[in-house]
Amino acid sequence: MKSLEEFVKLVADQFDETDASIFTPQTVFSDLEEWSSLVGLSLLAMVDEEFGVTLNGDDVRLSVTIEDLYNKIISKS
Amino acid sequence: MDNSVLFRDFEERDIDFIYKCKNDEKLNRMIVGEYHPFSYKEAVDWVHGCMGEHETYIFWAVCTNDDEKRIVGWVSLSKIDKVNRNACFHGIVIGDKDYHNGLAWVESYLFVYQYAFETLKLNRVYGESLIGHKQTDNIGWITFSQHEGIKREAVYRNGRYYDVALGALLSKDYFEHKNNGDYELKSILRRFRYLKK
Repeated sequence: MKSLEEFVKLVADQFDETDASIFTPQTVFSDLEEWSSLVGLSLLAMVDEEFGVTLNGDDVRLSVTIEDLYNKIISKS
Repeated sequence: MDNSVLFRDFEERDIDFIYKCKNDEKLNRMIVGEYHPFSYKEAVDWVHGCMGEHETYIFWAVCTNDDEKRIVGWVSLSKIDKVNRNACFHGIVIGDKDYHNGLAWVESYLFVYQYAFETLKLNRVYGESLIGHKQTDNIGWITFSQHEGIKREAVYRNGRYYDVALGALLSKDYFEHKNNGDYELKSILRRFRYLKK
């Protein structure tokens, strides 16, 4: 299982234009300027491949920070 | 897995959301159609124009999958031609940022294709998108819409001319991919991951 730190880096990789150094476990990913349906889908695809977990819309919508999302994945894996 | 969104006819309560979205410059930055800020009256007229059944176009409100069915965006088919059995995938907007999870966007595309090919029994659904619009550049790969050409410098937007990409999905291709399971979420996610790499 990947660590939270590794997950933060994987999330950052889904953003093409946002500086990777700003990402932390406490980052509110949906507040980022680049957040879009395309980035959202990219995030779901990464989680499916890296964790074998399929997130649903509520999992993403109700997760405020990257750490919230990580905890959701852990709870489903 | 339940869908994250549902689709319904427009209602009066949607007007404030439409007014907000139609005046959101970021949301309208990469649309092919003409963009100008909307007055509130234009938003009212626009919603009224979307309501009900029409011979050549259909607009659906994309809404939350709960009892409230609150609007989060819209999607449409236009230029419905029942003689040649084709229509234009007119547009999709997911205006509520809480629904920028990718699923609402994919479900909206698949809903329109399903309605066009399975309810209206159309043969072809076509569309246009600005080249450089990342979302529409990718959706063709996801839905197996085929690239059909380019209209060079056809749209002036954001202070410059954009080429416009033409694409279409045929009924036979839609059903082939549907029967293969290519429109299942898992399959879409894996194809998208492959595309990203």
